[in-house]
Amino acid sequence: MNETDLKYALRGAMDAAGGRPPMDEVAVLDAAKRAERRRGALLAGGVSATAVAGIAIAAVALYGNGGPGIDIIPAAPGDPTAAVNPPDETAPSWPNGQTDRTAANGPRTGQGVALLDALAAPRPAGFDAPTDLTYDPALGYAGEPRMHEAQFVERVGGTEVWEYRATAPISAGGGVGKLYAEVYTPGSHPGADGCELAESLWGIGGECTVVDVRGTPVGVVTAAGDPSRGFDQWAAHRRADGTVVFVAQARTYPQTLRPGLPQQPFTVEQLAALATDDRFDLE
Amino acid sequence: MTIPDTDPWGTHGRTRPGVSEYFRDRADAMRGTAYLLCGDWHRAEDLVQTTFVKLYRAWRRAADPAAGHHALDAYTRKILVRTFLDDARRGWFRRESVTDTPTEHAAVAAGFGATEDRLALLTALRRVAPRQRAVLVLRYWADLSVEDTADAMHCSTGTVKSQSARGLNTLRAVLPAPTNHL
Repeated sequence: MNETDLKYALRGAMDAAGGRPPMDEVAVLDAAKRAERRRGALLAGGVSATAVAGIAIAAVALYGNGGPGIDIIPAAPGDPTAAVNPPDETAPSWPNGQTDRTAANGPRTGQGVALLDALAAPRPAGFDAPTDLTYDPALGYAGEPRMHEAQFVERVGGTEVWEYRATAPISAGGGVGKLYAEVYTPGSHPGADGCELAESLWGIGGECTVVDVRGTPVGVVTAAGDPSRGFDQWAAHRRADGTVVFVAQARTYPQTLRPGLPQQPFTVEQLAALATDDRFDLE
Repeated sequence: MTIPDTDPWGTHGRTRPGVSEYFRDRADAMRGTAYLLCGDWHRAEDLVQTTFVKLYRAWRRAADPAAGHHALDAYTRKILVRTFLDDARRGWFRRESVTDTPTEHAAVAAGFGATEDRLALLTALRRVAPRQRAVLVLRYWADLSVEDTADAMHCSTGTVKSQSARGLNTLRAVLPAPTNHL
């Protein structure tokens, strides 16, 4: 089975699953309103951290404590309907004894921390890098708006390629925007450079220009092709050793529920220069 | 965006205009995605309900009339997938009922062989690990790009590619030989 087979098979399977009556719009509305009221009460009581749990309780309450589809029925041996782990032969092999792609500790995680520090440090005059912001609880996001991550990508010619990501809120005048960096160790994005490299970030694309930074051409997307993807502008640079650096900025960080910045933190030229900064040479 | 005549969300241009229309337009599609994710129609409806409860709260910020339903779909799908993955992480979806297997709808499919294959696919999909399953469903059911899938799952494109490959490998491993071409 290849990707195309799967696509057609899923459609066929869902066709075979037949039509279902429409969901009860009024019931869903009731759950939403109850959750909203509960959240308001909790926030008023100063326990906003439990609001998300309140939503879940309100939502589940609609069907009571176990509808016909969520009864616990032990699966018989060999029961094909029971969820099971993937067979061992398809289990991924991660480096450094990791249990998944993301490094939870060790030197790779340290590189993620270093990237976050590098991203938050060079802020322009008048800007701060707040560390106490939280996500809108309604989003159900784990973690915090200020984050870092180290992920194994693949092995190229026996060499591990790693991806480091960091997001740092940046504030000024009561508004909050976002800085983002994504750094790949040598071996990724083969052949791409300049605008081709810049436009490859998350496949967003947009209006791109090449900025000369002390003789080094740097691709900068100055207007995102899809503004809803969270970045307004970003620069991309491939260092001499093959390390690929993306540095992005956004005037808003809506997931924090804060108003946006009055202007972008960096000019296009500054953003391009930032992408070439040695502080992003992590290894 | 047209505000429908009957609006049980009670929003008629006040606090959350358009949410009722959006629910009617998209709840079924989201339920289909949820079903492929969790393999149980009742749980799928719970997932969709939780998703819309969260969406309701964020509606004024999320629903940009200028961006249209496409942008809102991405946001809603993101909530749905993350809710599913959170529940999966807590082991919620291991509590699957044998009373709601795809066989209850088997009769509507075309040929017997094709039906068997389709049911086998839905059963096999439940055996794929949750994150891999989510990637497969977003990529090959919801037709999202690698980048959009990465955005929905809050991970890198590299992760999407590897999870997709792993998921397909798992499906191949657990699927019986087809009785017909899928």
